[in-house]
Amino acid sequence: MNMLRRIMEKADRMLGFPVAYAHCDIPCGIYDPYAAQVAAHTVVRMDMLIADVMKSGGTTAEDRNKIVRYVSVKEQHAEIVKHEITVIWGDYMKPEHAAANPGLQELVWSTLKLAGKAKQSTDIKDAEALLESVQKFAEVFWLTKNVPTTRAKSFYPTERTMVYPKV
Amino acid sequence: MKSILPIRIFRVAERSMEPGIAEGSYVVVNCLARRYAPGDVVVLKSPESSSVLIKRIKMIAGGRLFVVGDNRDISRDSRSFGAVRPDSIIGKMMFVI
Repeated sequence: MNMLRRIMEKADRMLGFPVAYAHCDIPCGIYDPYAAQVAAHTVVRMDMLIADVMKSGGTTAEDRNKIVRYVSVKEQHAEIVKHEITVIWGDYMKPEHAAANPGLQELVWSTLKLAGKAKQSTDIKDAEALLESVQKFAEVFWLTKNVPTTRAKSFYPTERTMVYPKV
Repeated sequence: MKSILPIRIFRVAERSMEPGIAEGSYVVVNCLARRYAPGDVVVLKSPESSSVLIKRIKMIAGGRLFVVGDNRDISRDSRSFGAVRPDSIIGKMMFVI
């Protein structure tokens, strides 16, 4: 131990320096963009259902009840997208991933913004933009693991794209 | 939460900033710093408790700072508690002893 550290320790015993906690948590090492992808599809689906109700008038108490429920689910799933993307970005992604994938930080940032925009709007184009951004993120994620991906029409009622890892 | 002292010393507890900042080391902190950049190590007020944390800024977006521990596998940070407000920063680390 160097002399400076010993001096600091003596000073600490006399003065009692405040403590800064590095603050640890439990690692799990399990990451997958799948939850974010499915949540983004759900956001698209909610906008589809809202549009359906509005086409039929959207003025009855039952219509309004449906819309409130759809908007609530849309809010929740946009928030799931934000949470899942943030965890993978902050927890799994390392500087070497960002270096190998220029634009990754911008992609993360824009995905989070698009999730907010999809909450604010019922325009399906906003939900589609979020969905596409999440799919791109999934492609980058699997690329960091050297797992090839494929884009295909999903099996969901959204009938929109899903990125799948080729296993 | 700005200190009236321009320079403060903190003892580091726990291991989420290892290997660069080991548990038990001391950090000298500039509490007058107002500008932050990704890569800066900062001491901040925890958004979850009354304790003080030490983390590294990973990203600044929307006026908030996303902070993470260097020992990513065990660190509890913005991945759990979200990005933090700049006024929760106590100071920027200058060097480790």
